[in-house]
Amino acid sequence: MAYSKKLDKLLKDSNFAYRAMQPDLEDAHATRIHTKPAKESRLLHAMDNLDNLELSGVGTLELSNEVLFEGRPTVLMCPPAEITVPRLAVSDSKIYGDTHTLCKFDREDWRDYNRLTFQIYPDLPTYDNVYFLITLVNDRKEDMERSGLLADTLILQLKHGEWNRVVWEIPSAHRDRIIGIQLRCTVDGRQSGSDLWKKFYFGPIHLEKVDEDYYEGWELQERIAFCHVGYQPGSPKLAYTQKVSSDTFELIDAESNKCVYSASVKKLSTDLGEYFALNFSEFDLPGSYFLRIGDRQTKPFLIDKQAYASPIWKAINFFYQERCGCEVEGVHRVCHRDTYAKHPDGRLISSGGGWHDAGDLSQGLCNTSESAYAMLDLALRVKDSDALLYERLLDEARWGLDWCLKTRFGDGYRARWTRIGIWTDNILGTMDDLVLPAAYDPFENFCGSAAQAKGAIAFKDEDPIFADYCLKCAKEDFCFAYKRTFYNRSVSVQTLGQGVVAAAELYNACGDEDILKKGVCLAKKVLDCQQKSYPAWDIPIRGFFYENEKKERPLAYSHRAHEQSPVMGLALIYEAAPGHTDAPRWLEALGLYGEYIKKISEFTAPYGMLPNAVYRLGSFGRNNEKFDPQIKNGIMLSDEYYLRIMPVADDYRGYNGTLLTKAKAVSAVARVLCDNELYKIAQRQLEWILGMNPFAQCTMYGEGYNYPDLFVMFSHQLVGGIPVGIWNDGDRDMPYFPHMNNATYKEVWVHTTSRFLWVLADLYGYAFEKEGEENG
Amino acid sequence: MQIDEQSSAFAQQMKRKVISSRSLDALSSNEGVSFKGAGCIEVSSEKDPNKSIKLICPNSLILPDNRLSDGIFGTSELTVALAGEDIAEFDRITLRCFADCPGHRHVSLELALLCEEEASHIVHLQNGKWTDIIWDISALPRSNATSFTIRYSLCGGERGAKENVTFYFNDLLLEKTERSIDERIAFCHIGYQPNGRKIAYTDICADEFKIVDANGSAVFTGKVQKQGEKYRLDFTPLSDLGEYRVSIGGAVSKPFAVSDAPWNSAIVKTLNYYRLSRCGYGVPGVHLPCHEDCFVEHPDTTLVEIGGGWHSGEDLSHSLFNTAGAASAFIRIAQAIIQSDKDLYMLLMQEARHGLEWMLRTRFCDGYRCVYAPIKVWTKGIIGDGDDIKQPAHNDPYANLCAAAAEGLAAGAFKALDATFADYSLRCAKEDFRFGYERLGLREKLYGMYSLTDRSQLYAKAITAAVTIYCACEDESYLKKATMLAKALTADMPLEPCGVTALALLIKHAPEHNDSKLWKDAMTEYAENACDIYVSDENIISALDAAKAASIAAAVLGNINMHRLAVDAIEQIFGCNPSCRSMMYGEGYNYLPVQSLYLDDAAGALVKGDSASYRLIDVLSDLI
Repeated sequence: MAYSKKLDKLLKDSNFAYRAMQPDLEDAHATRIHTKPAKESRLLHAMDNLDNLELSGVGTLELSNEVLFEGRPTVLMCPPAEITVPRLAVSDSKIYGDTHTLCKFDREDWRDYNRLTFQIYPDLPTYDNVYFLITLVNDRKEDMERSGLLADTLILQLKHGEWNRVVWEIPSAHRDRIIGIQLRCTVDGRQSGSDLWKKFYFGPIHLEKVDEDYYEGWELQERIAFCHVGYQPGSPKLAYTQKVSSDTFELIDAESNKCVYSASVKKLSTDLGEYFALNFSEFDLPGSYFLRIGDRQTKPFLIDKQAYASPIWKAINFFYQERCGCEVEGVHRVCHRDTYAKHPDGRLISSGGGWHDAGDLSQGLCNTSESAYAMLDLALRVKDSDALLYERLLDEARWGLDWCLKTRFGDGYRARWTRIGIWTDNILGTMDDLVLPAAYDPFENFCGSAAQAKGAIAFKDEDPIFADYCLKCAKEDFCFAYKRTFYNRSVSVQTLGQGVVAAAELYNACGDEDILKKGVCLAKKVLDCQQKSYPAWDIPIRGFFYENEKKERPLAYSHRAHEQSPVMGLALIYEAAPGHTDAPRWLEALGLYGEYIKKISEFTAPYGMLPNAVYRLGSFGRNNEKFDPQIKNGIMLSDEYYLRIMPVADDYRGYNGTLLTKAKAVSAVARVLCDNELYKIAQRQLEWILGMNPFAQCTMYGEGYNYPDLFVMFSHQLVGGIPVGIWNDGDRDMPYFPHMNNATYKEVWVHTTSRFLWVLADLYGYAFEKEGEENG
Repeated sequence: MQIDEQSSAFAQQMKRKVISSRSLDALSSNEGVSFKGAGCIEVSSEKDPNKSIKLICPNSLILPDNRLSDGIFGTSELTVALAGEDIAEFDRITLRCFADCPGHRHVSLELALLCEEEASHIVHLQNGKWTDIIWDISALPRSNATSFTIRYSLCGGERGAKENVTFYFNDLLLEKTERSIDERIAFCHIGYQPNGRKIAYTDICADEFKIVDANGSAVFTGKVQKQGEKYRLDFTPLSDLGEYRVSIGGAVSKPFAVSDAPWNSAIVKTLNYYRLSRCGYGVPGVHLPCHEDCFVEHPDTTLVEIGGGWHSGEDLSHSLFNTAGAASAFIRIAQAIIQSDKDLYMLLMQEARHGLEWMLRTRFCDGYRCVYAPIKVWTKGIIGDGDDIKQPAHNDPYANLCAAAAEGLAAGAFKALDATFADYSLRCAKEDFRFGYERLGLREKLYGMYSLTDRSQLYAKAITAAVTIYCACEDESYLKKATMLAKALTADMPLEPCGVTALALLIKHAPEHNDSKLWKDAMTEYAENACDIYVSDENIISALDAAKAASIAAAVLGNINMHRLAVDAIEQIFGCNPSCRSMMYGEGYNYLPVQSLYLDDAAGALVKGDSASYRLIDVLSDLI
């Protein structure tokens, strides 16, 4: 299969994603933001003296002449990489601590300014990667009480041995009573060979005023939102903007610079505002193009059946660089060979291996197994069309499957979640060993079982012995989970659905009727969790799921999401046993879910990103006080029920994961019902991730344009990583994506990235049916 | 990497005409068959109505204190008595075996023929079906055959492997076969360089021979030269690039190339072999993540996981010496091809780093490290389940100097690729050099067996380490130490091949030094006394050491004869030998199965495993 020249080169240079892909920094948000001219500038601290500087945590702070900035002395902060502690307790395994210099101010109001610039020189020759954090401290009670995850923080990847100019746009930051800027370094261990003490030299800090980037709301203004990677032939091809100086737009061939298509823009009035649609759906000739309207134009994108090949390969690259337990060039040496899961009987299994979960170094069965499953799902889709991609997906999936298989004790217990935020020394018996309890968890065992069953199918011809072992483990894990699920009435629909997924995949793998029978039983319970009739609401909606059979609270996720599990379960079991007597009920439930999706997608035109969920007031117990105001900012369906576009959430925010999970559910239903409209809705969710959003930013690092720096603590920026996602501030129900890049919202995550691949397992290469003029 | 099955020795054997045979009916009854070890045997007609001997045994045993016998849980042996017969008229043993070993990825057996001494051969079986087995015994002494044994080693199983294994055997035959005339031409299967010497040998008597091209047209005709009992075919003048065959007396060889890079395929296959030998992670098609419950233990009781690096080719052990040697060889061959093949360069450096990572991780930073960890069993990866392995760490000067040499080389080679890693390698190299250098005199006390040869090797390694560190950081103190050691080496110790390598490094990096004439003289004396190198399955390691000395001496001294010796050795490995077979599995023609119980289908495996493999590419790094 022929790729674009650009992708071909990327693959060759990265040895087919077995070496780090290099981003094209010309297209990075960071590059653009660094070049903005300052309209006003004020020196906050020259950093050639220690006035108003205060050190917290272990380390030293001094004035230094070792490294000068423009001939002046600088401030040197030396934090340690680790602190000798008696033995890391489980709860402490995230990090050892934090060392920071507080640059103090007297409750200053900085609202007339919107940018900080800062000079920093790291001297860390023995570190593979250098990162650093800056946090603003505003003296208001609500700001001081905010979770660290919601603090106004920027995390930086720095170059060793040179001055780094840091630019941080802060229009979103709380800054009316600023008492300090924290210059922070987390104490999070070191790999063998890295020095104990780190050195950071600080240069001047300036407060500036610039034309700020848009960071909250639904407006597009002059920006053109489009899918940066491009569009598949036959699929809807739309872009949007809000300000136009011309009634027509043109599609220009990027190579010849000639107009190949032009049409009128279409004005749209939506609940979110007025927009103009640029619709070129009828143009299908493969090539590289850009859109021009008046004096504005987009960057190039593809119209090609492989438009998504580039982000798929980049996602694989992300996973490769998240590999744990082995050396990953440029990221880390062999790691975490002294971290273990412990069975209640005392046995240990190494939890090194698999993939680091996110911007930290944790490991989890659920994300690992679902990621492997997603890759196998996509691999099977491209098996006959793209042998290279097929092989590479199988290999990466197997890396995850190996971890799922090796971290099981064979009696229901397995490594479930290993929270790791430190580098360790790989020596067992020293203070930094991490030993975490193994768990017997039905949902996790169903997750493991489903991935292993998929492995049994995918590897049947490639490696029969491995496939047999996958099947054996999948059966065992299914049984471990089933016996703790079936007789428990409070089991969540998430677990029940995952059980049906596992049963269906197992049935596909081995044809065991007993397992199908068990899957049917679980599916019955899933059906009992769905809203089937129209409730007596002002805006009646049905087809969504509740958390369990009690139907007290609609199923909703704000962070890690599994909305796909009941829907995929029903879709898969229907496909596995279409002649079963319950099949009409499964089909009916899928149809209702499809109806629900189509209905809620109307509320977010023109973007079409799916609203998060239906919420019920007063259903969060002791969190009602916190969550009800958020619920009330949603779209009112009745006195008690609301539809939120962005999730109701605490401090774990960022919704690419919830959105893509929903998209996976939609694509699964689309597949079973052969529903073209649902396919389009599913694809639109990918387009949101890839640039079709109010910020006109591609959120996958190193893909498309204007992609932001993400939160990665222990590596360089990872091409292909998709962050936790665009989020919302406070109680408001609108997208929020400012420059700052704290965890969780801008943290890279295998969960989001795997779901991107998972949706494409249904969508990649899908032949859309044309339906006249596409709806703008 | 797929191999051409039709080019294997087995395929050749299958084509041979059987002139006579003798059935050893023992396998259809219990008579004349003895059994010892775990499990039992019985006569069975389950898999073949003609009856077979069925062997059932476990793949592991629960042993007191986890004490493995010779590294494995034990053996199951089925022996057919031969009563001291003369079986010289037969040149091969054949039998059939059905292996029923569910979940076992590699199923291998060892065949042993006891005459004056035992000779053995490893065969790999297809699981769940009958496998035809052929053992070519033509090169073995066989006038007084006492017994023939089929041996299964209880080497555990991966997770998912069924604990009981079953084998069925029948049709045990001694056969006399006729060797095809085409099999009687010994040439270098991988080809020759255009300007190099080109020699083949045969036992076919004729006056002249031809070299024919791909169309069968003669492009060269030469006179056959008698040399002892064989005939020498010299076609050195042929220098046009292309694919050719040797034609003599009605025999036509398989094709070979005249090309600028005849060794590239062997290098790539060696890389493939190492990738398949990786330990500690899942290797698709080879094994699941392995040996995560195997540790090396410091005297202070802290542990480091052994899993990682490479399995030794013949079993699953880990050796610092082989790992350091392989990492160094990969770097040297990478540097040799950097201009011509950047992609291969990157892959070779990646593999070198894989070995280096293991060396760096399994050191305790105080001189103690994993030096050698004999492992011959698959373990389940669960600590505390009875099959865990714990080996002591050692503070061995020679091991630390070997490590320092590799780390020092890496420090220079990785500077442009990964400065942080290069810097870390350099610091470890310096530390390990110190651990070794300060305890040079202690090795005798530590390990008893000591000779001038041992001391020569120790000093040579110290020189190599010091020079590589000097090259990486230009610290003159290391050069000074190297020259002092070289003085001692050249004064009163026999110059071993590794000493030649050490002196060559010194000459290369300190050509103006006052002692350089001394070093050159020593090397010249070595070169003058150097004999032809004969390579066989048994001596391949020492032969390659000699070839390395020859290749590096040729490069430093410009000595054509030494270059010839090195090339001759390589050509022997790839088919220019009395058996006319390539010693690398999957390369050239007529290659034997991989002689390992743990790895079967691994293109690039050389006889004697990784000990030979890295030496081979180290020689090639000088010849390219």
